[in-house]
Order: sequence, then C-alpha cells, then structure tokens
Amino acid sequence: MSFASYMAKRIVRMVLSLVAVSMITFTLLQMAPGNFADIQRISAGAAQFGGAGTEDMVHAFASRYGDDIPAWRQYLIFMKGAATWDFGPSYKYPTRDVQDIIAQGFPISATIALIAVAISLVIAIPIGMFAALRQNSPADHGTMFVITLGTALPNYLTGVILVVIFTLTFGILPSSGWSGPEHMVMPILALVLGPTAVLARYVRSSMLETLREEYVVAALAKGGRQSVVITRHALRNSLIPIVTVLGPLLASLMTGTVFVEALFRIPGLGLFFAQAAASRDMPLLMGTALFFALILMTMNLIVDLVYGYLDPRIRAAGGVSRWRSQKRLSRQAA
Amino acid sequence: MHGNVRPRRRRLGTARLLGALFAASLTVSACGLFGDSNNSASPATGGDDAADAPADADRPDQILRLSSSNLPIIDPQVVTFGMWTAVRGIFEGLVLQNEDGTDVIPGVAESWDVSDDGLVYTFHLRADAGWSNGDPVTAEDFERTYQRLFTPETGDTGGGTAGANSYQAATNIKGAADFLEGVTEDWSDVGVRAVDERTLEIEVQSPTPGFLMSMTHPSMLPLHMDTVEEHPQDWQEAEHVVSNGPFMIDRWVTNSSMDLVPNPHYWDLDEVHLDRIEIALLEGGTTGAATVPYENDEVDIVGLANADIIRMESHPELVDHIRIAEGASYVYLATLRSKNPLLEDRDIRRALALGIDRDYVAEVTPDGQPGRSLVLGTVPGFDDSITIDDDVEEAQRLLAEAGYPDGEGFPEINLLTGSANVDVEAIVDSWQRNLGISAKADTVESGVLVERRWAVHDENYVGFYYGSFAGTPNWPTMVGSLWSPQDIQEFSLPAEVWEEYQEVQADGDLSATERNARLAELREDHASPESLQLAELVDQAMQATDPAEQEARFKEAARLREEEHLIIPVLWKDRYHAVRPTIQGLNLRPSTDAYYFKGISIAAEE
Repeated sequence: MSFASYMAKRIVRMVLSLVAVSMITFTLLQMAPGNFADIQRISAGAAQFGGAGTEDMVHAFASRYGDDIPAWRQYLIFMKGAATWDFGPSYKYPTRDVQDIIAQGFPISATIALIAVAISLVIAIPIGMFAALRQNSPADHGTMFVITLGTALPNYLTGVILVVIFTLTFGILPSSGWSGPEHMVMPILALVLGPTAVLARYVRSSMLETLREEYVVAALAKGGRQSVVITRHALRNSLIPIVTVLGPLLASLMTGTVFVEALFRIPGLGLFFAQAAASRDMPLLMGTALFFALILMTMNLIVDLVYGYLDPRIRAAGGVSRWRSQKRLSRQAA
Repeated sequence: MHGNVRPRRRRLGTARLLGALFAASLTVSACGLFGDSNNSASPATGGDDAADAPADADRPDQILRLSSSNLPIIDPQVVTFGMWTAVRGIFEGLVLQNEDGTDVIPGVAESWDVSDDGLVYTFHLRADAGWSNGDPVTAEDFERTYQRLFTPETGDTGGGTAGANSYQAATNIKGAADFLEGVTEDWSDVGVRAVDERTLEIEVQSPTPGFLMSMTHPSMLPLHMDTVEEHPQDWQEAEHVVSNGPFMIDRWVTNSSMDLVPNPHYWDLDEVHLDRIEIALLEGGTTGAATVPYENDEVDIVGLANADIIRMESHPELVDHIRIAEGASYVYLATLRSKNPLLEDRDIRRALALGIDRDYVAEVTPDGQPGRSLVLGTVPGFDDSITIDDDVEEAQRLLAEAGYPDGEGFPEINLLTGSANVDVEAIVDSWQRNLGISAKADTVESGVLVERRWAVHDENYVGFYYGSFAGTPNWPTMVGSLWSPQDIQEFSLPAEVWEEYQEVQADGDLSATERNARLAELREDHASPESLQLAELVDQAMQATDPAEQEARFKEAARLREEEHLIIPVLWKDRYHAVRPTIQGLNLRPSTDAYYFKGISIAAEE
C-alpha cells in the first residue's frame, strides 16, 4: 500500500468520524432539556427576571439559524458553514464567530498543555529509568508508590493546594486570571503531576522490557559500559512506546483542561467548551466538539506516522499504521 | 496591611523569573497569548509603571482594580453582565439613582417636567453633556437609541435587543410594546420624541409611578447611534466605542481585561477622580473564589457570597472591610404545577408558608434576613401590615383541617433548585420539625430547571421551585412587575388549563394580538377570583394621582397577593462587598449594578 493511498484512506475516515461526531453532538443537544435563552435568563444574574417575556428571546437566538425551521435543517445550515470553517457567531458571544473563539482559546490551552507535557517528560524519563534499573528494590517501589499517588490526585485539587501555597501563604502568584506569564505558572504545575505519573510508569515498564532484549544483553556481555548501553541503545528504543501515549495525552490535555482552566479562570478552549455545553450554545458547542475531534484524530495520525518512522521494523513490515504493524508483529510472535 | 505597590512589584519579579523558565517554549505565540497587545503597556505592567513613580507623595495613584465575570459584550440593550458594567459609568442615562437607590437624581437630563395628567415627561438635557469623541449628547441620540431598543431583533450584536426590551414593561412607554410586538411599524406611534436638540419628550401609556426609577435601567442608556450603525458588529470594541459616561473604554483585551479612563467630554469632571479603572475579566467563577484575589491584593472591591462572607467575617482584619447594601433581593418559593391538585388548595399553601421557620433559615444563611413579604423592606413606605408572619400553630391547624394531622399522610414536598443551597435545606428542616411533613431538595442542572419549573408534573411530584429576585425597590416594580397580577393569575390556573395556556403561548401560527387575546381569555375564565381582583387593585394604584392613596392601594394589592401564597417569600438578602479602606466615595446601592464609578477616589493608606 502506497503512502498516498494510506493517507487518503485515513483522511476519508477522519471526515466520516467528524460527521458522526457532529450528528451525535447535535442530537444530544436537541435532546438535552432547556435552551440557551431560558438558561441565560436564570444565570445572567440580571435583575427583573420576570416570569414572562422569554418567547422573543428564544426566537431571536434561533433566528440566526432559521427561526421555526426543523432541527435537521438548522443542522444542515450549520454544517454547510462548518465545511468552510465558518461556524457562525456563538450565542453567548454574539459579536464573535466560533472559529475566532477557537483561534483565540486553543493556543492558550495548547501552550499550557505543551509546556506541562514537556516538563512531565523531563521529570518522568529519569524517574522511570531510575525505577527500572532498580527493579523491585525499595527505591523502585517507593518511587512507583509516590507516582501512583500522583495519578490519583486530581489536577483541580493540586491546583487548590498550589493556590494555598503560592497565593495565600507566600503571595507571590496571582490567584486567577489571564494577563501575563505569571498567570501560567500554577495552571502548568497543576497539570504536570498527572502526565508525569503516567509517563514515568510507561518509561519504567518499557525500559524493563528493553533491558531484557538480546541486543542489550549482548552489548553488556561484550563489555559495553552500562551507562552507554542504557542511554545510547536501551533508552532510545524504550522511548518508542512513549510516543504512542504522548499523542493522546497531549490531545486530552489540550482539550480537557477544563477544571484547571475553570479554577484559574483562564479563557482556554476547554472552558468555552464546557460553558457551551452548560448553556446550550449550539454553534460554540458544535464548533469546539468538532475541533476537539479533529485534534484528537490528527494527533493519532501523527503518532502513527512518527511511530513508523521511529521503529524501522514497522517500516520494514510495510505498514505505517500502528495497529496494522502491531497485529503483524503479534502474528509473527505467535 | 500590605501597601498597594509592593506586593505587586514583588509578584512581578517572581513572575519574570518564572517567565524566563518558560520563555523557550513560548516563542512567538506568546505575544498573542494574553490578548492583542495593540496598545501601549501590557496589562501586567500597566499599573506598575505609574506606581514606580510616586511623584505626588500625598496623592496615591487613582487606579481602581476590579474583577468581573468575563464580558462578552457591553451592549446595554442585551441582558448580560456587560449591561451592568455599562451602567456603572461607561454610559449615562437621563437620570441616575440617588445615594440609597430609592429615587433619581439628574444625569444627562439636568431637569424634567411632568404634565398634570402624569402622562408626558419632558427632559431637559445638559448643554455640556458630551460623547467621548466630543459630540454633544442630544435628545435625538436618545430617540434613535430607544428606537433600536424597541425594534425586535435589531443589530448584529446579541441576536437583537430582545433580551432587554422585554424588561421595558416597567417604563410603560406609550406604544413601545405594540412596536416591539409588530402590532405597529410606525415609529411615530411610540411616545418618544426629540422636540429639539436638548428636549426629549416621553409619553407613557398611563400614569406610571416609578417611571423615572425605571429609566435608570441599563437598557435605557443612550448609544452613539452613528457609531452603532457604522460598525453594527464591532461598535463596542475599544477602537470604535463612543460613550457618554464619566469613563470610557481605553483598552479591552478579550477574555482578559478591560481598562477605563475618564471621558474628557463628560459634563461633571469634578466628580471623576480615578485616572484608570482596571477590570480583570475572569471566566466562570465559583462562590468562594472571591476572597483569594482580594486577600492577595489583586482587587479593591469584590462582591461576596456564602462561604466568602463567613471567611471575611471571621478574619480579624478583613471583617472591617465588609460593606453591606441591605435588602438587595429576596428568595422565594414558587408553586409548581402538578396533576396532583394538593397545592391548588390555598389552605395547604398557607400552612406551608406559615410553617417555615424564617428566623432559623436566615440564621444559617450568611447574607439572609427573614423575608415575610415579596415587597422588600427597603421600599419607601414599607410597613409590617403586608407581612405574613410565621405561625406554626395556625399551620398545624390548617393541615389537620385538610386531613393531615401532624403531617400524617402528607405527600413529600419537592424544592426544585438549580444549585445546592443551605437555605433550601433549612426550609426542609423547618417543615419537618414544625409540621411533621417530609420534603427534599431536588437539585438539578440549569437546563433541567428551566424546563421543569414551568412543566406540569405528574401525580407523585408536588412542590415549589426556589428562586431569587432583585429589582428596583419601589411599589410599581415589587407589586406591579414582579410578581405582577398576570404572573399570579398564571400561577393560579388549574394544571390542565395551564397546559393549554402554554400551548397557546408557543403557538407560532397566531399573531401577537390573537395570542394575547386568547391568553387573556384563559386567565379571565380560569384564574382565581383573588388574582383577578389583584389586577384591578394594581390598576387603581397605577392610576392614582395622590401618592398616599397610591401607596395604600399598592399595599392592599401586596397583602392580597401574599395571602394567596402562590409565591412564598422566605428570605430578604443583603448584598455584601469587601472594600479596601482606602476606597473613598463608594456608594453601595441595593440595585444590581451595586455602585457607580463616579465619585470614587483612593485615599492614602493610614
């Protein structure tokens, strides 16, 4: 199978998935109780919210996608725009198109996520190696115990602890908001813990596996210095599976930092996504859902491509697709 | 106490250090990350540059730091938090609220006359009122603005102005409702007329007590219509916006911050003391999140709720920073419709209303006082004659009479609410103790709440929904507007009629006139006699020309309404703020906007 036809296949599959995501999101939104105008009315906090006078509001918001037309047509109107990356204005932020909100919110979420994952890697790799090299020693168990705790600690709780330390106790960092680099520190720290734990465990197990490989044993038997063998040969190869985790991890952080964004009141995309769902803001919810799906699928695609590039065996096997190669490998193993 | 300057500078130093750590990863995108830094200083340093140069040692920097939930727009004709920021001092209406928020004082209008029949208000505009671009504020500006307000679905900002124009009932401007509903398309049918450049005439449908107060609502603010028409989408952006209030928008970084500076063309610059107002725009805060930025010296004024209040009150120093505006809102229980007719019995509702231990509920609610009327105690002329007092014995007697001695066999009462509230639990608790009946809080997501509170529930679900209301503290609002006679009539409809009523409301095939006629007919035929009588009383009150007579009629109406117990008052709520002692001239009113920027200054620290 040529690379081009492989890519074409993948892209067709992605488009189909996006259509499916849009249909499911739209249907769920239709089924969800309440509508934007009614919810806005009780949550805007403005005075004089009487019992009557909501009909005109409901109509006003629906009118953008066609007042009194069936839902399926509203869906088609939206999708027609979406196909050309024009999601139309959000209900809640009526002066701004959804794609502009995405363009502004996503870099914020993505930057936080990227930095957090980068820091996680820097911490996780040495920890994972350390534990693997001392397998089953108290040091190994101790490290892994602490790491497991890290996985169990949700990032919003970490965030609160950070606020207590850096804001309330020392007063050196602003508690919330988004107007300068000082606002990035705590959100990133809050996010680092979870991925670090996940990655360290991966590094450890992958390293253990690699250390048992014949070429490592041979290299050591030939009198290679342990440190050289480990860093030059074992580490490099044991990091390949990490790439597999890294893609989805990054994608989920870029799209799923809702709690941290809410806690530190950061205008990232995760927050807009959550708000859109809560307030039944159809264009914003559909736009962000589609965008998240796109990010996730692109990440997976990139991982597959990088995976093939990193592991010559997979390339040699003729497949670029991870699952395909793995299937082949497992068949060979059998 | 920290100084205003030092902690910020220290924070910044640390930030620079830590910022350097991330510099590599930030690269180019970082510039745009904190908003479009199109103007001068970055938000983080804006205040400190000035702070670094304490030339006037006596006069501290006149910079007010605030935070707000994120403002998508500030269009005062669309119901969002933005409208309440606009009215604080970016725009200024004909009249402003006085110190305690009970009456009006001159704004753009320096004086006004009322015709003898109370139908025509003639406003005389100041000669020196100016827009931030130097244009004079004219009567025509107001007329054009109100035309926009009363035109359904105008403009590209906010899907029409429909959010705010439905609150115009209180102004009772002649023809406005018809114009809005499309009954007439002739603007000359509407009672708003610019007589000349500085004279604006507003005609009301009928004598309207509280008309002037209702003109302080944000939706009645003037807009610079040339700008609005030139930039229908972006007129509020910092580079376009033209405003007439004491302050104008200098910088507005989406999702991050908004900076205001004095409007040089404002007519009363003597009362404008602040050089800059920095508003941090924050996303969806939770209660409890307010005190931390305040304690960390990031903001100067902050609204407090629930746990925030408790924390501040128990803090040895900060307790002195608490400022309270009394009677800002009330908490009520509104009857839910159900196939089970239990609550259609007035005596049962009365038993439940009298059976609440309001002192106890208020005790557990930090900002609550017992509320025994749907008219707030801050309304001028309020007295105890319209309150419904707790009376456990009477409640027990009524229950026993209805066949539920000691609450035996009484169905479980649901309290439908959108958030977990301690006062709801206290109501449940006090009913259990006083009446022996069981009740529970049914806490649901807001989308579910908006649907269920108007629905007709099935046989085994009876109860009330929990809500709160803040409005202008005067008789026409509290008795005529919410809850209005029409509201009460709707609540008094039997469940099956209410179902039919809602179908008519939602019927898109009917014209506005037809629909209103059919709804009126349903109310006429099926609403309770008391609620119909209530409408008459309120009408009489609105028509009355003698103020004493008018107040008496309103009280009579309020009493009648409260005795129906369709809407049960539970608490009156105060509004709490934490305000730094250095802030001078801040005047907290119970209104939703809470205060005006005008008049505020910052004194040196002691």
